[in-house]
Amino acid sequence: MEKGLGDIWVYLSASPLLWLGATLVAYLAGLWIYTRTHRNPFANPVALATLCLVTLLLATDTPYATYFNGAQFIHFLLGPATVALAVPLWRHRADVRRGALPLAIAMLAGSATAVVAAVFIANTLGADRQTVLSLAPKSVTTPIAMGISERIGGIPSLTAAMVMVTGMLGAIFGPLLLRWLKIGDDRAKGLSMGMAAHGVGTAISYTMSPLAGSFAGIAMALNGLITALLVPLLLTWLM
Amino acid sequence: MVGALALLVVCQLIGEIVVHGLHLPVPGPVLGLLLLVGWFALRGGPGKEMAGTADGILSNLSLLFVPAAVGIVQHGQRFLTQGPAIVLALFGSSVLTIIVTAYAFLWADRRFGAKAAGPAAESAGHDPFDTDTGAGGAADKGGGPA
Repeated sequence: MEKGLGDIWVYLSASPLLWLGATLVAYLAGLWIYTRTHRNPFANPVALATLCLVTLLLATDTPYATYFNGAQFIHFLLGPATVALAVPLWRHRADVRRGALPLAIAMLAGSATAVVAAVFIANTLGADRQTVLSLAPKSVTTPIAMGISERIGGIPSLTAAMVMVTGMLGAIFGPLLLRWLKIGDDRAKGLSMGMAAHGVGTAISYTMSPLAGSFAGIAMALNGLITALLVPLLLTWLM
Repeated sequence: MVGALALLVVCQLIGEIVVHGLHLPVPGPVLGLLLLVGWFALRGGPGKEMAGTADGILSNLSLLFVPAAVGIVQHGQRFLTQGPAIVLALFGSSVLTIIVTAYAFLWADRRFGAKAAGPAAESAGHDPFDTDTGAGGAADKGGGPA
């Protein structure tokens, strides 16, 4: 019996099926809890699924590379999903055109705030240089953030982890903060969520309204560009 | 479904090729997004198939972030030793970014924005696609975004 189970484990742990399945099931479980708790921001499905999978990986002593071998099929869809943001962007093109200048101003201010605040706080609290550099691009969507991190001397995979923590913090506290500040404009809501919490913020914004989601998508897409250009400039001044 | 997926992947592919060929600081999928918007402009908008496929993918966007998020497991040591600095930096920066972005937009919109009574209502009037994929479509589905 013991040996039989062991054999099955050896087989499964070498095939992508196990961790692909585990990721889907963990996410569905997270989503179930999220809807059951009336969409409590603290029960964010990405955070719940991540917690569950990290625990599983540590408990079974599975390296991340093995996990990713299965999960990469889901991860891959991030690219086409980013392209698919063209659809909501097209639907709201009139709003975007009308708000082009305010959009540009808000995004420049938001991008600079994200970088300066992260670097300043981490520096003040005594984080080491590599950590600080890896933190600088954390508000940007993962692939861009990793590219920036590499260029400025950070650790790309550490940046990826920080991007995800940022996304989850934004998803949890962003809606609470916006409610507390009594910001009612869906464009401002989506824009700030997309700036602070990239794709995770965009996903949350879609649940607020399609207009908020579109503005979040725009913010996420353009923030990548703006931050890529701003970070090297800001770092020479900050570090 | 397959046609729409092919179009998404081809846009991304062209985006990647251009970005790598010209060493642009933009990621391939973002350029792919712009290409697809250009395609819509030529064709007069996304067809029903593309609209349905895109909405399907985007309403499950949260799921796609899980594999990258689990990557945090590789940096346990650093999070243990510098955890408070990292978490406070991320938290403080996120809160400030939301506040600054939201108020900067509201200020700039009042100052420079085109004077329009109700931007959301007006665009819905323009746009036939808005109605069938309204908030209800994304939010009421069980598999809606997080």
